[in-house]
Amino acid sequence: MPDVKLVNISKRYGKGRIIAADKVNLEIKDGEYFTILGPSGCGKSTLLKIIAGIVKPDEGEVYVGGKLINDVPIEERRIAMVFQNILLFPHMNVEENIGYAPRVKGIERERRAKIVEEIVSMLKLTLRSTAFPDELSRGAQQKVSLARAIASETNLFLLDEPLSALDSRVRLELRYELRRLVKELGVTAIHVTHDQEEAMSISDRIAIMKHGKIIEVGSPVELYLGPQEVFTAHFLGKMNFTEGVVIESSGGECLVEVSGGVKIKTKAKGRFTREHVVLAIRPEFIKLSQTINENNKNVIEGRIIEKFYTGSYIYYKVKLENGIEVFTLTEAEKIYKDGDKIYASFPPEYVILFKYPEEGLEKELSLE
Amino acid sequence: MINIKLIGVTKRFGTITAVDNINLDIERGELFTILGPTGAGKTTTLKLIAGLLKPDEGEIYFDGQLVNDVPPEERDIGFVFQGYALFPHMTVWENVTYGLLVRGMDPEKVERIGREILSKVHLLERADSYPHELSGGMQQRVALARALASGSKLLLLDEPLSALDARLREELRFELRNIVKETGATAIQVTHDKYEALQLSDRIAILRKGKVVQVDTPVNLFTKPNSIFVANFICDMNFFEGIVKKVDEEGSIIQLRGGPLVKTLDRTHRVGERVVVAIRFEDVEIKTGEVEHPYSIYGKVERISFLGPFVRIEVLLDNGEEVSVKLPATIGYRFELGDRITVNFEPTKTIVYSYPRAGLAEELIVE
Amino acid sequence: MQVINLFGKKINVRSFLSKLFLTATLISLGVFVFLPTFYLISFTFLGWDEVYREVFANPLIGDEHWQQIKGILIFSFRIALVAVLIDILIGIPLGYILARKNFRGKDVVEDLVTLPLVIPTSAFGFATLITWTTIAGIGGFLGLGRGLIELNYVVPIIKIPFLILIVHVTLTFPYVVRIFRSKLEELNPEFEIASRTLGASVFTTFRSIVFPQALPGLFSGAVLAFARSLGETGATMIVAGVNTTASIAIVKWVLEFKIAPASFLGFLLILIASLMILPIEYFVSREKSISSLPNLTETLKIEKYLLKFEKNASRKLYWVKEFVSFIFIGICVILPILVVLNSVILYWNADPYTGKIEGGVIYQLFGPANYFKSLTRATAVSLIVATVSTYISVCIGIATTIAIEKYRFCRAIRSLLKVPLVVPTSALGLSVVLLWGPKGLGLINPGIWLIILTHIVFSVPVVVESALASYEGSGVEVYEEAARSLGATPYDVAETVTLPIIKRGIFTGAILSFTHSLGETGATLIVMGRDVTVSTLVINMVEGLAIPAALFASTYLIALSLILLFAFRKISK
Repeated sequence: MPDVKLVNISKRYGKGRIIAADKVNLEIKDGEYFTILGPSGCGKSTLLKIIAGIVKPDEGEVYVGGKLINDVPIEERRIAMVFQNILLFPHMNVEENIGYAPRVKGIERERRAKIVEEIVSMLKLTLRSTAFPDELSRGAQQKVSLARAIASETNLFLLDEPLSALDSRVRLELRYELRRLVKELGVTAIHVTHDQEEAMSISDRIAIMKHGKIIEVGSPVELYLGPQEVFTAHFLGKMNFTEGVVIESSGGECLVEVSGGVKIKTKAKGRFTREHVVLAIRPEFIKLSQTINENNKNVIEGRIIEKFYTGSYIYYKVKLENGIEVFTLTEAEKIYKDGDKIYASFPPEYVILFKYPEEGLEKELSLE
Repeated sequence: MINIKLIGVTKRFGTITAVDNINLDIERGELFTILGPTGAGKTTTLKLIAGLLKPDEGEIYFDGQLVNDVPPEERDIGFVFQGYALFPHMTVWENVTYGLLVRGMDPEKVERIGREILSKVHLLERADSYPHELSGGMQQRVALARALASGSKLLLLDEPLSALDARLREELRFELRNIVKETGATAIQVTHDKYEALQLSDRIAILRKGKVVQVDTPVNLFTKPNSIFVANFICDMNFFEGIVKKVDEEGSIIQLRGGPLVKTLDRTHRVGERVVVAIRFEDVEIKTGEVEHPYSIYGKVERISFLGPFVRIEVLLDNGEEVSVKLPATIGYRFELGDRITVNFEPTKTIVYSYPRAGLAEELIVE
Repeated sequence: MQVINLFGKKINVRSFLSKLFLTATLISLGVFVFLPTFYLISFTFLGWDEVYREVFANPLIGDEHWQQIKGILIFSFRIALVAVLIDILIGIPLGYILARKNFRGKDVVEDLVTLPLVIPTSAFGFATLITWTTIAGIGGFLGLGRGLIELNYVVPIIKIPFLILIVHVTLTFPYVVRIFRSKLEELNPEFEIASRTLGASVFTTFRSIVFPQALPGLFSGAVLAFARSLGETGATMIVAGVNTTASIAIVKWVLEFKIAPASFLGFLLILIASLMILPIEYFVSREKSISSLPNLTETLKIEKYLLKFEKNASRKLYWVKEFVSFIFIGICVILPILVVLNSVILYWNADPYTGKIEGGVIYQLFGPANYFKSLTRATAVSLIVATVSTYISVCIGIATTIAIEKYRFCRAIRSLLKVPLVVPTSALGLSVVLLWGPKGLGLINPGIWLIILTHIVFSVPVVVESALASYEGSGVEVYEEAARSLGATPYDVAETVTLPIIKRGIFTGAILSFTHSLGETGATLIVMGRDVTVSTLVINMVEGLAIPAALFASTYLIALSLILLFAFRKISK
């Protein structure tokens, strides 16, 4: 159960034009389920491959359990890896695949069979051990590949987009299996993904990554409710954004003027007047009603322009009278029609305030 | 926009029946989704409609005309392929205008339409780039533009968003519906992602192992799934085996494994019959502590997962089974691991199914 | 759908045109490729009485011919077998390096591996001959005052003439390397990474994961190499000395007008070649490979020691594969070329050892024998033959490729097309001359046109295989579907999508068949009549003991093939 430390890791490709990692520093605790989350091409897989020894960093050091491992070859790093493409050896059956790591360690057939049996029951796999990978569904294949990793009896699990190639329904079920196993075995897990719901539902901590840099690190709840960076707020779950200028700032509150002269009250400290800021609020915190309620703060009138049904909840796209469009997440019991007049209220305690990003809001919000 | 009808369509590949006697009636201008696990036959169905595959049995009608023997190039369709299939040896511009040129359109008209459609997807500046120089999201937009360029009355979309990152997919989902609806064409899309289906479609057909299991609007599918498979696929659903203990004018009382009783409004099953009780994660009511009630079930909080706006709580019931609960995060925070919990299934939200012949586990397989 | 009225019957234009296309393709294939290939079989059956009499019950010599044939076949098979085994030993490390590693000079190594496919075999045979057996080669370099070995030197234990062996190995190893390499490249390298993350060393990974999956490729390559060795004529004729291989025997017998034994031997070779295709196709279609290898080593209880050895080897002996490969290429490929170049310079004005200008290159070229004129004429003939046969082959080849991909029943054609690739070319030449020549249909006499027809027979399969590989490798099918969904007719699709995407494969095939045609000797000797090609000219020169002229011709040919190789590389990129 080692801890893992990355110090100033940098890696470039294509004669220096593509930055996969830019002076990355990360500390992953012993026994933690740690996820590196970011859009495709942000460098998260590269980081994982550097930890695995598949890729050599241009600069920086990797420490596992306090030991520097930069020059240790892959097969001696004592890691267990699960891949996006599953990579079960197609010419070996389930039992031979799972028993591969013990076999190359020199463990004989009988002991191997026992190890395989134990793991198969731990994962509750109900398939023939003589089946070949191409006879199994993808979800089952990935479970076998997990079993194969567990059989190497190491303490550091590296999961490279393990669920991305699976059907969405299968992903939902398998992700909890991953966490359960990791915690049961007491190993350290580093999981890489672009799926933010996956990351939030099973991680102890998440590192958000973009263009080779770590943007922010924190627990799922911390990052979702109290993000420090605009990109974090945007990437985790859905967020509404708008720009504004601070008019007043006192105590723990701030008054910000946005488009159309509308003024929004927020709870934020240490802001300067005339500061250019970005306001953000989660769709589920915007309250919609067809009448004005005196107790609601920050009420703006608007119209429903679109509906997106998700089952028990509906996303409404609302165009406010000052021109801003917002998404709200509302229980399906209240059904509004396109064109309905609506009052949207933005409770100040849920309005988050950010400094206006240097490169502009649109660039900061781009997902590619 | 045209109306598409499939009657008794079957397609086999060797010994595998990919599409098994399906009947579909897709209305003019509809955004129709075929939803199902990988391998259910969705792409095959789409290709049959496109004419890229010939059915072994059955007929396909476009606006009442039999099209079985009409080759794809004469069916006037726009197809977006799963990996986009952008011609690698042609630029963005050449890709998008291909369909216009090959149908012999005037060069001036081609120029005009090409510019229009590329502007609509915000890619006019990249007209001279090659596909491999573009990001995934951009390639997807080019594929869409190419399919829309000739103004076909039928749009076929094969998992149009599945190659994209999760976050990007969520963003583009909203845009996709707008773009498609604007054209006024009939659109048939295929996906394995239930959120995509629910958010974008006018109606959905659920496909399982080549057969159509249920066709309905998203609301109806969600509120009234006709089978355990559909319920499990479309909703986040808990399932419990049970036996009917009593039936009266109000409904029935069902006993679950280990003894707890559940009240439902169902009157279609007899006493002693083996059934499956289903209730959605978001419909399960839970309170801390043990509250006395004839239909309460007790348990302990096993696991709490954070899902952003929601929290998913796994409760280990006293009878050994697990129930999953989905709550808005503001309420879910109040619970902690190990808390003693009272679980209540609202009768109006509980659905009862007959116990499936193949067994419950088989019906819950989603692959 | 366009429907027109023709002679009072309604005809669907589209389906009519596609049927026409299919028929035309099948007919050209039949006439130009399959008929000549299999004619020898029917010739032997039809003329069985005469063949039987000549070969088995000859009034003069009894079944002497049959005994000779048996001996020759066994000899040729032995050579082919040993050559292929050596090919595999070299091919595995070399294929692995080319598939997985990147290093400076990799381009050069790739070219050197392709060179034996491209170089005229007689010139190469000659180069090898002087390298090993004359003072101008290794012997002189080591100061021995003579050649290193005798012409007919036989390798002990395996009892195969050294020169024949080294020539065959050099000319056949590219088949093994190229196919093994492409099979390795198809194999996702991530499998090897997965294996290593599970604790297996590089060598163990190769044994357990890479090798079993690449085995079908190795096997295909081995079969092709075997067949190539059986059919090798040009170089063998020069280095054979007193020995006779199957392909040499055919040529010799035909030139002595002993058609019966020649055709019987040819018939046997075609039959054997056709039978060899079956296992290739079987293994290639089965994707599953041999997984019993690991179990074997376990049962033998050597697994533990093997693992330990592999672990140490991975750390310390990783350089061995590069070393072995490069030494091999150096000795077998580079050395003969250098020797020839060196010798041509040495012998330029006069024989360096006797001082006689009659023994100099210039004299032989421009003197009374006037080999220069023969060389220019032969070059013209070779170029015309290569160009025309390649052009026609490409046309037939493209049509065939499209037919194979579009119509399911045409898949069988692909397997059948492998036969001309595998049949010894001298047997093919015999088959062609018997079909079209005076003894058969009497349509074409031996000469330039017959050479062209013969070359088409083995060029079409090369173009088709290359185009198909490109077609399948590039995943064109989905682009074709996209095009059709956009309104393109099948003709449009072929023109605007299929051909542009696979054109690289077609060019590769064209260049391969062009160079092969330039260097082909076996079949050409039989059908050429009085029109001489460059590769057959070299044989004439050597037999006429005009060594300096042969030196010049060889240098000239090697230079030509190097230029073509360069073009080949530029286009394949």
